[in-house]
Amino acid sequence: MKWRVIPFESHDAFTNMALDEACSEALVSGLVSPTIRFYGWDPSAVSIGYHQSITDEVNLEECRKQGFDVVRRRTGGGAVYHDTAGEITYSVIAPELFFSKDIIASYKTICGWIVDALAAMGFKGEFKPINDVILEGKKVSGNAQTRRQGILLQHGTLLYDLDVRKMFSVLKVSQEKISDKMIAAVEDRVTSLKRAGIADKNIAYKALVDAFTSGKSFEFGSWTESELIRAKELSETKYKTTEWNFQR
Amino acid sequence: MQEMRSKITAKVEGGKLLRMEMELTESGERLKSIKITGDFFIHPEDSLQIVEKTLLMAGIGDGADKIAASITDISKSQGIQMLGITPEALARAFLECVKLAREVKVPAVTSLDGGPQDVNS
Repeated sequence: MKWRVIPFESHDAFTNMALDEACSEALVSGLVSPTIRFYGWDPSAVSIGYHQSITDEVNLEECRKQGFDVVRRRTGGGAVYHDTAGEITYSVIAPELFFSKDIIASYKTICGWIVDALAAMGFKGEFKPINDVILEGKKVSGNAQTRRQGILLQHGTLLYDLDVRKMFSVLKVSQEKISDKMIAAVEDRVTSLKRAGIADKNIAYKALVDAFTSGKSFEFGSWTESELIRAKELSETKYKTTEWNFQR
Repeated sequence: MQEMRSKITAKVEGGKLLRMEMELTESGERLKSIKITGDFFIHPEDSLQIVEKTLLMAGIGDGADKIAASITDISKSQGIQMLGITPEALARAFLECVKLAREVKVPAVTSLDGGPQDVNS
């Protein structure tokens, strides 16, 4: 089966989450091919894991001040700050049967594509269970997966640039803890491609596209009209709602 | 009368962050409500409610082994997979949360590795 690859595009957080779900629904109905998409977040945003409490994790007032979106994902995992310029996000949406039944093994498969992309840029990355990819011992990619109605959705980020102070301003970390020492501690655990020496985000994007499509029959494509209509509907009636975002 | 409520945060060893919030009845003998949140993974996602219901029905005098076993049993029968948390960690958090609620520190934060802390400390 031929994969559809949707080239990099930027959306608000609600549309990004809605497109993942609209695509999953279309795939269930057999209307589209398994899909790999690359995207960014405009405006910058915070996404929280399906099981998290938005009020526990996010400084909502600061997000409002800075004009950032805040959205709950359909996937578990932690709160993530998505900087408009700081990361490349991907989603893989495919029949569950394409991957191992073992969830960690399927993380390893898809995260392996990120490891391959890093290798193409001259770096030795490594999958670190449950859901991370590390570079020189530091996290460079976080990932999250859900399986519903026979469809696997895994999305994740590859960090291109990281502003720890900005990240802490929107994630709920007590102000007294945002010390230089704590910022240094995060910088010891998390890295970015820019810090590793990649001067151009396009180099990283090209490496990702090559690695994610390697060995696959694929074509670059776009959303169908019905996916876009459904995504708009999901964005308005689900992902933007208090009911969804504050459910825990 | 003070409400018997508590909230704890625990880092599961080798896993993720687990937060548990509960309210006991006035007698302190039964659970009124429980909420589990955190950055863990449960598949299928909505089965977290089944885990919460299992804990809601657990006897608060039960030991950690019995509570963990009830979560393990329901997980097996419902095909629930957990990543980053375990039935044992949930059971330990549950007992810690019950203990804290009975001490009537409202609200409070604790760690499974250490004692309870006031939320503002």
